[in-house]
Amino acid sequence: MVSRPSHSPQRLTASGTKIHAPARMDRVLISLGCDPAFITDVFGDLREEYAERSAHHGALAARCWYAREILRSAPHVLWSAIRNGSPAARARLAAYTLAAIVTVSLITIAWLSRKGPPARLVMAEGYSDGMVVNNVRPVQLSTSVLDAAGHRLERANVSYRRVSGVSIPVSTRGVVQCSQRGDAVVRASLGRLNKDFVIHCEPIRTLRNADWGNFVVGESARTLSVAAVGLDGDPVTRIAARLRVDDSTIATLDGDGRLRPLRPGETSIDVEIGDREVSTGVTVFEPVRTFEGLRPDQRWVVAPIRLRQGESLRWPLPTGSFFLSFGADSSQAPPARGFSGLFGSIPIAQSPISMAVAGPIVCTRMSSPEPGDVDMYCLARARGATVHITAGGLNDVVGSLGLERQK
Amino acid sequence: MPTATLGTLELATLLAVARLQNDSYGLAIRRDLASRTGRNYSVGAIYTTLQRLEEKGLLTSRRSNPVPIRGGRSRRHFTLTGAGARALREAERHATSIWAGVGKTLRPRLA
Repeated sequence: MVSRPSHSPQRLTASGTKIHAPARMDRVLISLGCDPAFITDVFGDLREEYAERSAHHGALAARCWYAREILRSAPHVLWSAIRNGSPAARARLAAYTLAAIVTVSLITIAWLSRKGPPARLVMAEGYSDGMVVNNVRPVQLSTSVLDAAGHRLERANVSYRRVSGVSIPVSTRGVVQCSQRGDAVVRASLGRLNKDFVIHCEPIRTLRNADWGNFVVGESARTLSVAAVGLDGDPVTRIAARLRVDDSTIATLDGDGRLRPLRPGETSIDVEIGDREVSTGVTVFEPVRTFEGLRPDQRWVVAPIRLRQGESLRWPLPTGSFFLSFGADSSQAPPARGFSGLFGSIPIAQSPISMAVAGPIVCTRMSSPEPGDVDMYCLARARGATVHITAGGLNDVVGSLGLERQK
Repeated sequence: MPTATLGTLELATLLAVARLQNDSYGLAIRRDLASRTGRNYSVGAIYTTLQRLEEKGLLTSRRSNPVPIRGGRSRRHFTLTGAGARALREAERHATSIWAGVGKTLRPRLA
């Protein structure tokens, strides 16, 4: 929109009056639909004042003033074009305006994203100045080179060397092998830039399967336990794990590795630490008050058990095969299970309860990780099977009974 | 005949045209407004206002002969119409009316 003030060529009218031929900017604006009289007046005033300012304040100051005034008048000139222009002129104006906006945007983006010389070194995303290495095999350290504005620079040849700490091999290209436990300081260098990083070596020899986790819909998130053993045979507690839930509609993992149950079902969790990987499972139960009136689609349910000393309850059981698990802590889901032997009707000696089944049903008792918990696998061949639970000890019983139907 | 409603800049521009009489063209009007209001209106804003006042029938304009200065050009001079004069009187009455009953201490001091 800015036009340089110019003294337009003059011509004579038939009456001998001198008028000005429109300058180039004027012609462009008139072609865009601006009122010719309006454009003539505006630019005439601007040129007249420019001539005065140029004489009094100098050409540079006058040009600055002129450019500023053109910009200030631009909205009014545009409005004049919109008001007075033909459809074709308005289309031209829209095209010019769009082109101007795109040009300015591109220039702005290019300006903001321009990259400067290397200004600092940082570790890869997710690490601050320290990195836990649980690998036994060599790993590549990852360093980013940033300019002063924080833009990531490509193809930077960073070199590495160990400067202190536990003796571990570090190549100049940043390959480190944690052959023992301990911290080492590694210096990354690029020209005059240097950055020291702490490598926490915690190599893991074996990773034990985490216990199968049982959760109840609505309970708060819990951390999954994983047992890692180092090269020296001691447990490793400082770990950098990568977790993945197979079905995130059943449960999700937050950034701290805590699992949040969402809906009833089973899913698996892949745990990757260093060079090792294990998988574990998660079952999410639906809380119910009793087992009466269960629908066929209710495959994972858990009900609270509260019995005074000597009290008992009898609940109907569905047909088909299922796991039946009693846990002595009402705040948790049913206990995790293991296999033990075959039973028909089961009184449990160490448990605070006596649990028996009756009717057309056969059950197999599984081993339980916690004393007092009961876990069994049952097959009810027809309707009419029941479970009978009695508080058999000296104290009242508080717990939960889980039912997990098999397909 | 009902008089047109005037905005602040419209009223100030009409008053400038009334004051400047034979010398009332865009640049002179802009300078007059700048000296009296302390605001530096853009040339585009002044001519948009003048055009609007002309469309409302409160001003008329005519082109002058080119002025005998460097880059001399013909200027558009503006004159108050009868409707414009009535609109100014109406605006003054309206201002007097709404200021009526206000104590001296709150009244603006006239320069």
